[in-house]
Amino acid sequence: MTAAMTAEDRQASREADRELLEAVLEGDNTAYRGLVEKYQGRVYSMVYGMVRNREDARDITQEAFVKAYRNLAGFRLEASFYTWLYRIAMNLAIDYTRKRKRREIAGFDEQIAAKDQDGGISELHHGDSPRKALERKQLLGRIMDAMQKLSDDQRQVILLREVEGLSYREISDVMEIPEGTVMSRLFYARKKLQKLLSDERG
Amino acid sequence: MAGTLETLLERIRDGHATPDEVAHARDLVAGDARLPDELREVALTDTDDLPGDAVGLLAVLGADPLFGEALRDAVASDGVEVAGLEEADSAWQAIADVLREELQAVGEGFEVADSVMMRLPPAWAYGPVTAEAVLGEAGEVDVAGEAMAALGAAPSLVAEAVAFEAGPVDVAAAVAAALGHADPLPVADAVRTEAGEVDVAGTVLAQLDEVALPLAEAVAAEGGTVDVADAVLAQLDETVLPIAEAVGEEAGEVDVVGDVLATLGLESKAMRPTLPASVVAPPEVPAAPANRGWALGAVVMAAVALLVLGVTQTPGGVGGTMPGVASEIVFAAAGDVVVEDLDYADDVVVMQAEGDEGAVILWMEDA
Repeated sequence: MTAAMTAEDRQASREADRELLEAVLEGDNTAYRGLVEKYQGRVYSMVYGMVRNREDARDITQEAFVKAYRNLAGFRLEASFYTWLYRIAMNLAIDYTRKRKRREIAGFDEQIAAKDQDGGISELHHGDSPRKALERKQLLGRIMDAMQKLSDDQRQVILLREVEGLSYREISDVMEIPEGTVMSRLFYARKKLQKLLSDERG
Repeated sequence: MAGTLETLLERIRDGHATPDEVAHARDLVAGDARLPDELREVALTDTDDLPGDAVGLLAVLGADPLFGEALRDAVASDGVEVAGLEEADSAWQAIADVLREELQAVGEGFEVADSVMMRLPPAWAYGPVTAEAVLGEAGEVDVAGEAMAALGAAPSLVAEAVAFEAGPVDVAAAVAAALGHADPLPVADAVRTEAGEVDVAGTVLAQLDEVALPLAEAVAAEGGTVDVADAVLAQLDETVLPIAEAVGEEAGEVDVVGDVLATLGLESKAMRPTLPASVVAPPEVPAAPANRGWALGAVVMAAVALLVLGVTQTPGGVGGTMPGVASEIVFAAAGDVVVEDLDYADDVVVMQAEGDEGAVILWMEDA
């Protein structure tokens, strides 16, 4: 669900998901591959934004799809599969970051947080000049550093809104919070991120 | 007073509000039901950026002219996209653009579908695929070897448990009690004469050893090479009918339990015990044993099994006397033996069946 998708696009995508899910539930497991292939990149992007470690993001993404599959029996077909999938993925990512923080507090692997900084970021993919691409990469590094200083909830709402382009209602579904809370959390997350970046700059 | 909060927020946003007005606005925000709880608790508490808070509050209230009519309408109507919000804040827009484009690029070409599909539990259409895969990987399996390996761990564990829990046991009393004899004393006296106090752990171990080898032979004879795919799929969720059907077509049906039981029945002669030396030779009489838990149940069953299986050694089958046992002992026919008051733990299963010669077979195993 990118920001550019129209309401009609979303509806069509949702219908397609539903058809695949019905096929899976009727015994066609290969249909699940269609869902995985459709969402794997986007879920990975989101999870990477949360954990900022490529290998961990891969594991979490994989786990999210497996977990979703195992729980398909409890999924309501009239609901949105991708918001449900994102909820699973985000909860797994948050669990991961909390465990990582506990490990860091215990002093076992304090380097992990900085382990894969920008490691998953492609370079020069915009067709910009090398200098411009480098600047962009540096900017992203700063943004990602600042993102790691947000709370899990703030980071999550930023990613769902800005990267995945979900509506407030969809974010509300994913995070299981009221839409008003989505708006306020998004506002404070943006504000804090801007402040972190400006503090760093100046 | 309607509009007061919005007016105060606009003054704060524009940098014109006095400290009293800020405090008043904070009180109004805290009690404004239109705002989410989270905002009501923290808004306007950060004195470093009161204008920023005011802008956010005005946006949430749908009254910030900075974002225009379209945004106000969008925020006011539930769940509608708030297009244009980012456009109003170019600084944020730059951040959001970089974040979105770069992270989306991270996900491009990412592939996890194969790994996910391999990790899915076998179900529905995956039954035949699983069967084929297992057959291809496993081929033929030495079931007897596996069974012996599994049994190999059991005797020592059983012996330790029995020795720890029961120690030496008064078999005579246990047998008499287990038989529910109306007058247990003759039985008890006879058994005590013959067996005395017994090294229970040794006896149980001896019995296990006697069982293990015939069992292995039986499994080897019956099982031989086994359709592993069938065995694996049998462990899968039986509610998934397509698997069962697919495997049935692929592999046919193997009644392993039936085969093993049948084999044990045929082999029951080989399993007839002779009393181990520790039973035949009366040791010194020890103190009365602890009588508790599953171990005693196991001991009682073992003793009963010894006694009843011993019956089948008697020429003429049941109803005779055991050689070397006092003549006044009368054994019941197998069909007449009713075992009552057995004490055993929940994780022990007891089965009773008649063998070819009428012997009662008591069988216990972990549930």
